[in-house]
Amino acid sequence: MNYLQAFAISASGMAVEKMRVDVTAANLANAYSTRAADGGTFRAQRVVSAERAGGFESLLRGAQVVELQPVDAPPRLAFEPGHPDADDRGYVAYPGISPVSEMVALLTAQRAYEANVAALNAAKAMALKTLELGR
Amino acid sequence: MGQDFGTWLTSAVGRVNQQLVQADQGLRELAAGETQNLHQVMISLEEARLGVQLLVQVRNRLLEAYQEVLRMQP
Repeated sequence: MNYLQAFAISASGMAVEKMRVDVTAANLANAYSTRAADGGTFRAQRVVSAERAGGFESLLRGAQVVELQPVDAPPRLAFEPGHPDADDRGYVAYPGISPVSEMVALLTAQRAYEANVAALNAAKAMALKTLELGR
Repeated sequence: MGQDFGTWLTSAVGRVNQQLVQADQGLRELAAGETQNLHQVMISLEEARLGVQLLVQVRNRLLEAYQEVLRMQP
């Protein structure tokens, strides 16, 4: 059935934007982490999305998450000699995460998600309206 | 004429039932906290709703046609 195609496309966009919100939440949660899981300083990440290759018939294709790209920002050094993660000069390396740009990314992803919901609702309203043909 | 209407209706009812079962399963997983993405559950609910609406409309037209036949006079 054809109306399901619009649903699937919108769903792929919603999945991508949900991923963006998750990654931004992880960035904000680790804004003051002094250690990363791999031992170094935590680095903020950005979702890279692309058009989904194939999958849907016809020319219309959804979106998909391709990779997580670390943001190339230098760590923020703070002078805290008593800190357990301080280096020999007493500086602690905090992640170079800007809360402002993270909030912008969060809001952008939220609005993009809402746009996908709006597109899906439009497709649904059209399908329901079609059922009123001839009534 | 490929297949008769009865066969089509049976398969359509089966499809809608399949959608309903899928939506129900999604709701169960949501209630159990096993859902990975919420929007997939909502979309399957909407798909099931559309399928039921379509089937109801087909049934309405069928009943109209049947009553039209009943009103025929020799």
